[in-house]
Amino acid sequence: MKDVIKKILITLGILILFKLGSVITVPNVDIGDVKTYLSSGTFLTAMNMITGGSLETFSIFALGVGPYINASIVIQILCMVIPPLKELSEEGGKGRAKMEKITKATTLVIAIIQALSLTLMFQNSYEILEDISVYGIINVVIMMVAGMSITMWLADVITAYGVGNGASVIIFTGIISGLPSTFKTVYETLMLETNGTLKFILYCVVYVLLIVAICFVETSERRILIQQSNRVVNKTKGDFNYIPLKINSAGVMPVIFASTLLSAPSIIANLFGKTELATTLSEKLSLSSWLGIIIFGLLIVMFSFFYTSISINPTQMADNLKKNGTYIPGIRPGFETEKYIKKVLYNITCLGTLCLLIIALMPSIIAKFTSLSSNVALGGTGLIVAVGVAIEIKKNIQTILTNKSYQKYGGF
Amino acid sequence: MEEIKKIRWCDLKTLKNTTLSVLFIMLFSVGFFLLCDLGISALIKIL
Repeated sequence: MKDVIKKILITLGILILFKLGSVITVPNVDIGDVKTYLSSGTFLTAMNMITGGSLETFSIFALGVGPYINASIVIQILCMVIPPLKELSEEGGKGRAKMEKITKATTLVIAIIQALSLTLMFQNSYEILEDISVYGIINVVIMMVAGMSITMWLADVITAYGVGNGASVIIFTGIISGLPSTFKTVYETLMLETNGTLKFILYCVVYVLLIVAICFVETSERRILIQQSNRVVNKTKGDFNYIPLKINSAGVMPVIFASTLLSAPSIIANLFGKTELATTLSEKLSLSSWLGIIIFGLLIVMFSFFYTSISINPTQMADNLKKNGTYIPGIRPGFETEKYIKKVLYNITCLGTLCLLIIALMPSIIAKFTSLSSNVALGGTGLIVAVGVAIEIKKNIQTILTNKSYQKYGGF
Repeated sequence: MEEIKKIRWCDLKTLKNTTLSVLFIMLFSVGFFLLCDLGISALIKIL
């Protein structure tokens, strides 16, 4: 128990440091009314969520863990295209460490590009820079990249010594910090209507039901029965071994990837100032337009299958089963087992993606038919990420406690 | 359709426990971050 408390305290301490850094605005920047613009439900609202809410103050942590997420996407896609990278990722512990180094180097490059584009975009739209010389811009970019490196280090400390995955916890911070203001906006909007109190209570109930639905999907699984070739099984006693496959194996990553990718074209277009194209893209690719909702849905479907294919390898699973002398009853070991696992995985990913789509898109669609702003709808997308991370934290604490009690009884 | 029948859906007890844990973590975090914001605002005023 002491160990868990220590890990929780370390995590909270790191989060206080992150919060402190989030209010320090980059020198040479005057934020003005940027906050108002970010809260109006534009494409940057999604980015503000991923950066942990640091973008609204244009703080030294404004990039957050965004570049790391983008670098992960790029490297994982490259792994599928470049064979040496694929081999490296399958090399076990050492290979994974090398891959992590490559990802971090890519993160640095993406961070420089992102910092420069954000600075130029905000300068073109809001004239936030006090010194607009090349030296002034480079200064801001260096500060932001350094801030991102510190954020990544804080995330690494959480992963190593705290609870949960550091990068996810940083994103969680941004979403949860925005919850009180989201509820305040909803309350103020609904109070202007007739039966406002009743509608607000209904909103809260739907919110809790959404949390229950996410928990339901996250904890349901498909169990593939397996049997040891040299062991007699008593079926009446339920004496089975199985491979558990989560319905939503990809977790919350498809939603994070989709949000990041959805905001990319608008960011690039806004680099060249407030052009007509930039305004159109910002409007069309936000979750307040039908086109934005459809593209967001398609991206979630695409990333669900992509991320599941990366995180679960049926060929390796079939190989491991064969090596251990284990088989799936009624299925031949080897190629047939691989084919069977692939089929099951495809079927449950279809179902999991459908559940994820309903949960991710429902708030945006509800907002289209009600008076609620798209900013509140985005809170729904953030909710999936927040609940996913909360479940991850819960499981992490449970694992630490189980390991401790196992060690107490003579385990290693 | 066949696959849906084979899925081991989360039972009521697990669902209740998970939801309560998630709600607790979320509410605790909301309170903690509100306190953080208050503390930081006070610190800025003092400085």
